[in-house]
Amino acid sequence: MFIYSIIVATLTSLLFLTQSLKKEAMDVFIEAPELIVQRMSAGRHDLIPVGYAEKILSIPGVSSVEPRYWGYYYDNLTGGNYTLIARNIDALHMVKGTLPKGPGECAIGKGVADVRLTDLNDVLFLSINPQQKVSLKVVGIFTADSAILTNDLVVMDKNDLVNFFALPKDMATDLIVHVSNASEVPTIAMKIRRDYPDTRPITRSEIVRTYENVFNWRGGMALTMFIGPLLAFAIFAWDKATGMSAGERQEIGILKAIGWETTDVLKLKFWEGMAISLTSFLTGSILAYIHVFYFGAALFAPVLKGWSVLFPPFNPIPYIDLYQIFVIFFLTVIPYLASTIIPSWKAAVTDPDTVMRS
Amino acid sequence: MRRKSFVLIVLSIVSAVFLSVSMALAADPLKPTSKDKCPVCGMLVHPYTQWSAQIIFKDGTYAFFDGPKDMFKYYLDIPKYNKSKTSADISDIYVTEYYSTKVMKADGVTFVSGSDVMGPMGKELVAITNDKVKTFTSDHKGVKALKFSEVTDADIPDGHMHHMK
Amino acid sequence: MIKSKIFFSFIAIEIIVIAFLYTDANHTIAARNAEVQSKRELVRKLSLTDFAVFTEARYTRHPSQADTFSAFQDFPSSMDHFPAGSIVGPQRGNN
Repeated sequence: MFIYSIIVATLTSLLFLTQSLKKEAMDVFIEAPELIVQRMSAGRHDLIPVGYAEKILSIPGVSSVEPRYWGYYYDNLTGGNYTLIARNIDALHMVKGTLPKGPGECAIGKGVADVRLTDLNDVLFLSINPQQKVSLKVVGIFTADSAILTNDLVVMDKNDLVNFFALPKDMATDLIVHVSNASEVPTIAMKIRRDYPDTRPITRSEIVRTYENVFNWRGGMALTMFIGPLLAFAIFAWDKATGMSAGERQEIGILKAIGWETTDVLKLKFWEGMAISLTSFLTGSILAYIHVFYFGAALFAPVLKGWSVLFPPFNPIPYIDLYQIFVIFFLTVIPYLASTIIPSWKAAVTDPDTVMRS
Repeated sequence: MRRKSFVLIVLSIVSAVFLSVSMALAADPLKPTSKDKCPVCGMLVHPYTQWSAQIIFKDGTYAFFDGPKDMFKYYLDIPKYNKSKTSADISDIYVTEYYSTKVMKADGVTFVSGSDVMGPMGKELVAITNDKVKTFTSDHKGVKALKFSEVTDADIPDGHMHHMK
Repeated sequence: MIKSKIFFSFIAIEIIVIAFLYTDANHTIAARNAEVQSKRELVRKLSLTDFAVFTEARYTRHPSQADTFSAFQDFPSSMDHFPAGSIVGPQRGNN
């Protein structure tokens, strides 16, 4: 029963976590840019000339185009990868302090602040080589509850970033295209590809769909982790089914001998199995809820973390899909019942004398 | 000196009068509230901001529509929907332009029928600024491009309930 | 008899706990609505596209921005050598 509960807890934790992350992604990325235009070169994402913006702006339905400057930085000191982005905006809720107002300032994610032991007003020094380096005063730190979006960010001034990465003049990482009418996005994406065949437009719905896939419980992240416990459960149930102990068989034989019908025996076994699986199922679900929503799926973190140095603590919002709980119920309770009843039935239909003697 | 100030006063009075008159003549477009329903199909209007149309009467009353199509149904047969009004009572008609999603005067845009762009009620007479009609027609397989005054009953597409996501 | 009493009280306690957790879930969702709104603001203003969860490779940090065969981004037919690559697969391109 203990093993049973643990298996249910693992499966349900997985569903709780992926469902919560998926719902959050859907909720949050509906504000992502309607259209992002990347340039592809030799099958890779490459820098895009800012000049592309002019022609894109002339496409009907495009309200504005702005270049986006961002990139990755591998920090030798800590072995972490940071995401550097250039953005000049005034204020945000989820930041302690302010956002960079000009060159020499930056706002960093909680994860970066922690691994670099940096606090507000400290200096963050980044360097790729002796020519490409920058010292930035930390004017803001993103709050811990935004970590899932901001953990590895370093937000800085555009000129700082362009100089630091030594981006060629008039080149950007990609372009954001704002579209007034969402229905027109596919047409605009098609026209951009027609005008600039070397680009790859990424629509907002594709971003959302990406996360739908990553956190889909029937695929991607969940499926990889799902298979383990599910197999464990199969072995567990199989073991129950084939390895009915001599004592149990004898018990059934005695019941038969004192006049019980086969149906009575099966009823008894059914309720016995039901009691065990119901208790285990409820216990497992409770454990899963506590694990995921009170302890941030702490047991999964090491697995999910992989080689990431910066990994945000999970603090998932308890969005629960009852349908998924029913699925877990049917995936565990039904096979368990079957695996207890079938061998009992086998024992019950054989002659009590044979059963007790064997 | 005195004459100058007199001219200024007269000018300001004239302009004030002119402004108030023009304000009375031209009503600004309104924003649909969560309660406004289309008088033609009965649907709530506010979820479809990129389609909404409106007719404002001279007495300040108004009607919102979930798309230009229903606005035309109403406009071409006002007594059917509102017995107390005639087309002479109309002050302004606004529609939402497709590309910009901006609210514009209905007589300043072109309506394209037969396109593959679906409104809240299926096929629509899509409002397009005059300079983009060609682009829209070729991108979205538009059939007929009509000015506001050219739209007749025959041009209004059949409404099949078709909820937009 | 006594055993069945233990069983039923155990089930009853569990059902109460589940009911409590369920209300707790609804309560938490409502309480953290402001947080979701702030996150939306973050996404909008910083024009973010991805969760900062797996930071080990480009295509795991920004799955939605990755090019179509990112698993082999370092050289042709290179192995996928990041653990998170088994969890976050490269997205199939639409084009």
